[in-house]
Amino acid sequence: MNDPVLRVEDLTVRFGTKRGVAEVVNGISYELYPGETLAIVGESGSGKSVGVLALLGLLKQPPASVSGSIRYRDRELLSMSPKEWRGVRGRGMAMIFQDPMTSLNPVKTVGFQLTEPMEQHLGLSGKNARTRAIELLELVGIPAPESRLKSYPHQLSGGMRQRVMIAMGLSCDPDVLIADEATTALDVTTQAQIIELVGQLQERIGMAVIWITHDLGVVAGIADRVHVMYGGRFMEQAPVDGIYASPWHPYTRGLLGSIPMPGSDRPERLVTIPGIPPDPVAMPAGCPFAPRCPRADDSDCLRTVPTMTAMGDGHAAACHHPHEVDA
Amino acid sequence: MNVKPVSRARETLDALLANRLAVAGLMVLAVLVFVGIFGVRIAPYEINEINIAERLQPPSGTHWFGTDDLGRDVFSRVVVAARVSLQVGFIAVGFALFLGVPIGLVAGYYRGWIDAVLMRTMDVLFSFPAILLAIAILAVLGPGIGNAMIAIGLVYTPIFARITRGSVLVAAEEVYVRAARSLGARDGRIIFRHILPNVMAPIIVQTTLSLAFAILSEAALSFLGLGVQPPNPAWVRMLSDGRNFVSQAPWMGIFPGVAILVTVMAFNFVGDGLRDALDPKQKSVIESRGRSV
Amino acid sequence: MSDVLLQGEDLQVHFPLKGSGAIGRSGGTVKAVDGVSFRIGRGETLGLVGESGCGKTTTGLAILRLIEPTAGRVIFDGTDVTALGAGDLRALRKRVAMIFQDPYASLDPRMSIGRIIGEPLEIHGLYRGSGRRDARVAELLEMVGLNPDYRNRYPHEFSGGQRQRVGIARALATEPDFIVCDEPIAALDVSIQAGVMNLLEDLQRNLGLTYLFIAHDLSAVQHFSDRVAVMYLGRIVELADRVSLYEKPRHPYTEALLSAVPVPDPVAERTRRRIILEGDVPSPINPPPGCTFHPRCRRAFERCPLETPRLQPVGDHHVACHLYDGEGALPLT
Repeated sequence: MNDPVLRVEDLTVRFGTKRGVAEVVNGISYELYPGETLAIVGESGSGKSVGVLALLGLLKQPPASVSGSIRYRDRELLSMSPKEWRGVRGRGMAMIFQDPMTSLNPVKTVGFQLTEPMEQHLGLSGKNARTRAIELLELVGIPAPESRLKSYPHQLSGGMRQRVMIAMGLSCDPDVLIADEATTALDVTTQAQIIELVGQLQERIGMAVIWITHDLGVVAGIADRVHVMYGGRFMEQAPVDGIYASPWHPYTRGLLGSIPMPGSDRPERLVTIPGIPPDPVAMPAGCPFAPRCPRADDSDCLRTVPTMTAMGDGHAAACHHPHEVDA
Repeated sequence: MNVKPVSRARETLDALLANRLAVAGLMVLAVLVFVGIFGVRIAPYEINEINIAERLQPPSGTHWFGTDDLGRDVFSRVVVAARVSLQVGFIAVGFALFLGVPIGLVAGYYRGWIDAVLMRTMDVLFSFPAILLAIAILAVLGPGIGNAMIAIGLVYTPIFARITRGSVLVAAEEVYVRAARSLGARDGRIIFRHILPNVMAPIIVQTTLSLAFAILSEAALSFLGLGVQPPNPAWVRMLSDGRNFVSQAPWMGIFPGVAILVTVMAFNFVGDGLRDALDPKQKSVIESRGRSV
Repeated sequence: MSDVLLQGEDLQVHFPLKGSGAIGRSGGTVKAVDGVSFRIGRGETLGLVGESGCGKTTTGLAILRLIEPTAGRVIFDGTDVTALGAGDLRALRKRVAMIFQDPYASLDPRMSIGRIIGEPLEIHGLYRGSGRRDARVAELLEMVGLNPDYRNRYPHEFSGGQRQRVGIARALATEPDFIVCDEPIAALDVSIQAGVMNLLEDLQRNLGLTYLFIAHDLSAVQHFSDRVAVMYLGRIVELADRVSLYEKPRHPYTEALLSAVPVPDPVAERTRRRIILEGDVPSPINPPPGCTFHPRCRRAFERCPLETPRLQPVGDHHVACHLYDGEGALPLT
């Protein structure tokens, strides 16, 4: 087994707000190996986006306060200076976001936005950067790449803009690509194209991908391993087959039960998870999911945060009463 | 869920009261309004009573703000002039609101040729320098305080029309407006129940700021002899009269001047405070993107 | 299927584009809805599905005449909606309601939810008399699973799912027969979506409602609808009951759409055959000639760019595709 390219330990992010301290990310730990796709699944309020913004040092401290350890290739990122961060961002680790329209600079051409990081990070000359930019646009499947260099973001469709974002992300050969809800705002056919593209690029370049999403359908198609996040913590983690075939955590079960499965006969009513996600300013004492959990008891669950317990085969759950392993 | 329902109005009020400058401004305005209403009763002396023997007296126990070149008590004159200044401000701005906001509502909601005609008219009014316009209007209506108020009101109408229209253009596209239409609401209900309450914020802010300017405008008209007629006191005329006696009796100009300053600042503080309370900035917690968790 | 409650006949919504001149030189037309016909039976749910630009939301708005159709008719319970005058149209709004996509934007932030839900009662003068309106509002809140004590609270105090329930309560206030649901769950979290969908189903059963369910989420549409219509660039390309649409899609676009929908089953995902479409969803401003799907269609042939296919019965589906029509028609498998 290779060494992990990214190792996160006990990452915690808190924010100071008017109403008090918001505990948005509460001690998550994971590893990312070269070439693999890790999916972090959660709904809004789970802290999944903030968790990866911390990976790239994109949180203003204050009001945020980030603690724990993020090791990228044996380098501790959290103790880096802003200058050192800039060296890692875009170079070793790159990120693509949900809405390419707001992520791309509307007043700069596509060509500029591609060549600028290359000139800065890789020291490429203008001409070489331009050539590489054209290569990248071809790589991401944009037709007539040379003429596209002069286009502005608003002249491209959503799918194309996302491809440009991916090209930008790849421009400096990162080891790690973080896709934060990168296909959520796209049409389903465009989403399929982008997912296919990222998969192909991964094979070709060998980069690792962290895919943040709430869509369990997308996850099933792209992930090698899955972490389920709720209330700033990981509830369950497993290889992708295991999560779907035998979810142990009640939250994972609830999530899977609440999505309509295509093609079945008129199914039973969908499973609903009563209640709403916890308020980060007023996180409950024990397990964050306990207030809504059908299996919660009155003592352990409400008082003690369960630790992530391995159950074999790379499958682990943080639960006092996990479902039994199904046959 | 909160224990008690908290309306937007309540939240705004709380935010406003937390702003100390705004509270100071509000207190000053409260004093001014009180003085404006009861001014004549408070004034210890007749405002126009000439008493040459007492002229140019410095502030003392009997004349708190001293006397002017004709022996008139400055304090009494300042207090009584407060009413006029405030009156002009409120009535002129009230007129501008009464005319400008409906114009903006109609123009912004119906658009098309109504919008074009109304706003071009507003543009014409707006393109005249304010004083010239006021003078022109007064030339038609004749001088005097009532007409001055109308003139100033007309000068401010385009601003209110524009601000209202701008907000209405946005509000009319909101989904809740479409929802109201889907329920069968008539235009009138939509405009007054849904759009107007949601565009009040910039109008309120503009109102307080315009009040400050309106008072100054009256002053400008007074300079030209078109506002309050002598011998009735008006702060700016008192200020200008005091110019001639700066070395002998600086208090003649200082007190009315301070009154103007304090009033304008109070309106400004309240206006700024309202703007902040109604439209709180959301601090971005993320370095380059303002998104939530 | 019982009698037809709502019928659309060749519905069209075209928007003229202003050119760049200030006077409004015509720059073309946006054919948002370009000849859509359908029937919805009483008590039925018709799902309307498609990607961005396909015109599904515009269709929903046109049915209520919140956007005026430029051609075609909408017939509700025997009445031609498109020909109604203002007064009659207003009366119609008691019987036909709409639920909007964005729970954050569809409620007036300055009104308490009690007033929001009671507004249709005010508009139409229903439940007059002391306390009757309040009682009705309380009843509606309970119907959607919200505590009636919250009627004086404001929208911003509620979560997205709760706000959507308020929107549903508002739609139900005048006891409508028909509700257009425009992407009612798209803006909600996954675990909340299920609750709202269950609620809509229960309400349909208990109140005898008929729905037009507009969405881009194919799985949700299939779960929820009786029949499904697939739209592409302003036209319906296939219409079938939910089971056979999924099992045997006939239109190439439906096939591609279904194959693009991610399935929450990793084994299935690994083994399924994907049809990846080339290119982007075209804009409705200059749609391709003939069959608007032909540039991206892997089965296109000579006739496709020349002639617009009509929606025709093919087995138990309706399909608008030359593959099933006349020369070159495929045998039914």
